[in-house]
Amino acid sequence: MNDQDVTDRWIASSAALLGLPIEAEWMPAIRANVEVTFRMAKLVEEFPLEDEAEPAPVYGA
Amino acid sequence: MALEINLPDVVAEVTAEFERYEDALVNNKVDVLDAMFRDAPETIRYGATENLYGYEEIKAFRSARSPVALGRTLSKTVITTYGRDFAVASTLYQRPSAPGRTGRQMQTWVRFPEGWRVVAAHVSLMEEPKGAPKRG
Amino acid sequence: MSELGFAKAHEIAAAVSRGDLTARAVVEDALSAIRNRNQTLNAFTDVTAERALARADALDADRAAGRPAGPLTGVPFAVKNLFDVKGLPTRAGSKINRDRPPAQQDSPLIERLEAAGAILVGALNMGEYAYDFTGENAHDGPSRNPHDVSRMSGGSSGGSGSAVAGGLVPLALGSDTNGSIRVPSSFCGIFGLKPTYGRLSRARSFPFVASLDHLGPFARCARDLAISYDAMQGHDPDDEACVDRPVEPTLPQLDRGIEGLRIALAGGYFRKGAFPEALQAIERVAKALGASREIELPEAHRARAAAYVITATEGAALHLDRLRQRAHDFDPATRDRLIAGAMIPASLVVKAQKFRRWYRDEVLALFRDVDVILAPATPCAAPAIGQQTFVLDGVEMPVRPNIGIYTQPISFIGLPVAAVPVPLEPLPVAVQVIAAPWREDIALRVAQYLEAQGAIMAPRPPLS
Repeated sequence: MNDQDVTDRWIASSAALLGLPIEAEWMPAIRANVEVTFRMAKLVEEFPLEDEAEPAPVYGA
Repeated sequence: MALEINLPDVVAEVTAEFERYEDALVNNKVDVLDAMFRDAPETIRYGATENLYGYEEIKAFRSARSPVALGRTLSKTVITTYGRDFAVASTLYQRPSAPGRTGRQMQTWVRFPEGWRVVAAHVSLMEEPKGAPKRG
Repeated sequence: MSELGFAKAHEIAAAVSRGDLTARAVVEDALSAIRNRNQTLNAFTDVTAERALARADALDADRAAGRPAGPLTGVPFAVKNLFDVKGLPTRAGSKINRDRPPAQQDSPLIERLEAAGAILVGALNMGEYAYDFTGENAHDGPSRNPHDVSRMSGGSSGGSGSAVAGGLVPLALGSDTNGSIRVPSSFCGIFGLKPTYGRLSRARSFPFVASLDHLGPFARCARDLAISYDAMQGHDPDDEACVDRPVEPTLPQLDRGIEGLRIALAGGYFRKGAFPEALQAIERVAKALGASREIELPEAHRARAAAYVITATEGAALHLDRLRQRAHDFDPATRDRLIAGAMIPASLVVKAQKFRRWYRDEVLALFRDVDVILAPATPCAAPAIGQQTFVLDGVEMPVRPNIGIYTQPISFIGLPVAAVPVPLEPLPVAVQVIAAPWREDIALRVAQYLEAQGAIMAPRPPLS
């Protein structure tokens, strides 16, 4: 199974679990955007932060 | 000395100065406007929304003035000269940008060695009553 | 009276308050300009003519009665169509939102500008749901760049950029999540202000990314940004994210000059991929300010990436039900990105928010030694409408997401930015004047100084 297959299966499964109907013609654009967003997320993740790092939004009760 | 009113050559001189001032006003030629008022603390200008005492205040006003909506047409312009060195110029004006309002402008001109200068001026606006017949 | 189209808001207000100009004359002139040029520019999606003329008549009656005039008296303005305008369904650049019931009340920013005497004349085109940097819109058509109508206005506040640059109105409102005020300011060559995150109330406006959305003004000069921003400031209990700070007027400080301000240029990431015109714009501004020191924002590329992830995922969450029920009614350009955003694991989003706090702390530390940071607003001048790719740093890249590379790392942590236009030929490019949180006064002071020096201005477009 190549990378594209993995991504496509991810998209199909997510769509099913989220109840999001997807047309076949939309797949190339959705795939491209999923790939880019995962790549962006990886760029963020690669920067080590300690366990104690607080997320930016802080809730006030 | 008999004070002769409206000597033709004096009227012509003051009219020329008045027209030069009008051109500078609608084209926002600030340098010309500054030069035509007497540079002295006694010079007073009551503007439509400001009272300016002394040349410095008047000069500051000219330099800061918004160049928008300066176009106007004059009507009922009356220039009266008293002797050779004193004149009063009065005029009504209408702006296409402010229909329904009539402006009034009055200037006191005095001849100094350096030339004719405005020593006092007053500008004010009058709303035309709705439905009133157009005049002048 | 075609001079009015390109007059500054404060000039119009001065003329109206002294009686040389009726508010009605101003509004009629704006409506006429819109009638003549909106066909080409496609900036306006709604024109509220009746409302505007009624308001103008009321202001003229006030003036006749001797009531005091506000700082924006008689000034026509328009708002991106994600702002609530009473009586209109808040479109937010979409087809779907047209089915919403009409807004019951204006957004508070509209209310505050009108309280200062300004007059709303209509609502403006935008990229669908604000997920856009181009100003293109599949439903309403693209808003066009007045300097070259074959080119993008930029987005997502495309109509705002087009309307002000094109002389239809001297003042407009937009929103900025990752660059949607700063990009149209750059492409259209006008002044834009993205205030500090949480400064201006977002109540009664259609959202995009709650973590990153800002609202702000566009104008033809720094003074107009200051006057309109000051009029809109102030806490609003209707907006949870609006900070409870006192109004901090910027107008009194505006002409103070730059003495004592420490100004640096953002290096590294903010020079990578810059086209010659962006570098030229920065150079011109730096020279006028006597600034040469370079400063590096650490991990700016990761900041941009984190903003990207947060945007994609919060945007998707907002539209999830609409995507389930009416996917076909979206602009395809937004639909596919939103669907993709719905499929990103939450753990990655949390990581992006954690990185955000780290980056915020690092950048705020830089502001101990600097007051102003300069960066280009866009990597290039306006591309052609519909252009898909450009060459960035030697690599062919898609245009759309990369227009915002310099704006995203800044809005990511909510820093206030004045986008200031450098009138290059053939097309303008803007520079971001970035200050520390809550120091809009400093950003505007620098903008005013640059304008007084002649280094920046909103150029008039060629006559069509």
